[in-house]
Amino acid sequence: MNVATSIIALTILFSFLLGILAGKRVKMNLEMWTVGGRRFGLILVWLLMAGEIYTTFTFLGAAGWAYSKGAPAFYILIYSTLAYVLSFFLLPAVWKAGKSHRLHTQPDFFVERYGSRFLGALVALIGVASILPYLQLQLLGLGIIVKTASGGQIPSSWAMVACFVLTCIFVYTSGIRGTAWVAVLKDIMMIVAVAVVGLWVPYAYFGGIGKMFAALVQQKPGHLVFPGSTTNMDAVWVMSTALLTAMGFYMWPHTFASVFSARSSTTIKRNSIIMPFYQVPVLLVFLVGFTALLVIPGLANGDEAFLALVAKTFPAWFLGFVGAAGAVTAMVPSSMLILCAATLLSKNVYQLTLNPSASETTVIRLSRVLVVVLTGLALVFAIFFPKALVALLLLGYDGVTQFFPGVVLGLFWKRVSRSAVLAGLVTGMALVALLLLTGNDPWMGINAGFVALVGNAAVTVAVTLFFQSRERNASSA
Amino acid sequence: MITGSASSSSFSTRGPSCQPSSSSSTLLPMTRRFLPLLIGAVPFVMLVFALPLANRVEPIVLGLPFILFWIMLWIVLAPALLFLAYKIEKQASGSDDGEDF
Repeated sequence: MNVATSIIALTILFSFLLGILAGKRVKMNLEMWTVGGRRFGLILVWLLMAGEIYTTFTFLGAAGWAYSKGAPAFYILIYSTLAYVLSFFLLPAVWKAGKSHRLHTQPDFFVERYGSRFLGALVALIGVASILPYLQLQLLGLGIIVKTASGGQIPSSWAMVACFVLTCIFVYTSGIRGTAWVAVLKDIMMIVAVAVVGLWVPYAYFGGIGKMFAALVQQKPGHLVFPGSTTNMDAVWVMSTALLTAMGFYMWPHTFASVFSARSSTTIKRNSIIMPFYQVPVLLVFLVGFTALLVIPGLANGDEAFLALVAKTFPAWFLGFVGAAGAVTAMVPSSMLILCAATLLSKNVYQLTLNPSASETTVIRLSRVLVVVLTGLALVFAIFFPKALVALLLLGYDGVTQFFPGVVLGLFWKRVSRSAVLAGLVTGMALVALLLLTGNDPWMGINAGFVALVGNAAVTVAVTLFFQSRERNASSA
Repeated sequence: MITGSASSSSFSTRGPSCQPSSSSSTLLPMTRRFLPLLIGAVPFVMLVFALPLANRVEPIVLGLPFILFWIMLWIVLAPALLFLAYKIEKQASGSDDGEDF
């Protein structure tokens, strides 16, 4: 092992111990394990949300797209900001519903609101299917980190296997509270790493951010405006993608469930107000990607740009620090994703739908088995079907955003019915599958997931209105 | 049951034909409800619908290409707008402890 990989290994070990220590103090039941006993305060919730939201995707994927695609990557800055604005108005209602009905998971919400266990199970399955590419993304990120840090000595597939064995143990021993404390460590490391690299590299090579951009404009004039260095990601794509992903942001099963662990709806509102500031580090990540394009052009995999530039610019120990920050940044969200997906399958699909008489012990035991199964599945995908990190996240968004009409209309429109939401959801998923499989993403310049979302919402509203008018006719007859 | 409004606790199977006193409610709750929503719509207009207009490199502002500057500007302004919405909601809800928006 060289300096960089040793630092990464030590950091992972440390976060592992921290997770175990945090988890030891409280006795676990299902509620404790998944929503931390509904006792988190403002700072912990903020860090927990940030811990889920800023992942390997932000760290490596954003730089990767800035490098390979240019301006279309700006959608990343836009969508998360809009997601926080949306969350300010939406999440307090979600939290309130969660509190008054003791909801643990996203499908619980659908079961409670629409009185259909089948709908709940369907939501759970779509959620898990969408989480898989997200998990795969984290794994690929870990692979890139260890590969670059070891100078190509350690193959990325070995690194992925090792890291995910650790993540599984980590999930078993500590649950959400352990993850929250490691998220604190991760956020500090990531912000330091991004600040140092993002502020330093444009100066080191060009003498300033402005000069770096001037050089980029001169060399690649189209890179910084839509459609950047792509042919099919013009302004319309950015607009539809930003809207799709902003609406989907809190529709991820894990982010949706994290709302339940907040102390009050005021906590959530305050969170929404301050979260956009967390976007500033993302700008720095873009600066690294753009600088890398000028300094080390021609990388086959843009996702490697961030670390390749760090390796070229900084001493080995700092590459180790950045790699460690990246590794923890992959592990924290991964453990939350795994935990959430396992709970969805064991509780919402198995206990509530397949075997209602299952005891809580059985459900916990099953979810612990599923942790290994799901992680293994993501590992197989990561090793055999590598894709660009941003593309994987967008794939997940195509799925989860289809929950948006069911959630929003369910909260604010009393008349919307089970059959309407079911019809909308099926329409949305069918449209997404059709457009993606026929290679129509983007479709006429619009993000395919957004097209499906519009179809989904239209069907949900239409079916609701249709049945309502029929009922009205029946009652007046 | 889950519903946005706290007053009615059931999903009615018949149409909600009677909604008592909605017309007699004062202007204040209306303002409380819609002004924050209007404020919340501003970032969406600026960051989505105005995007094609801002899609340009020149003029360079603070060293950033104009499109990037435009996006960063609204990211920084978004918390300020949300804070304003928060204050309006809080003020309108009067002596509420702010727990129940």
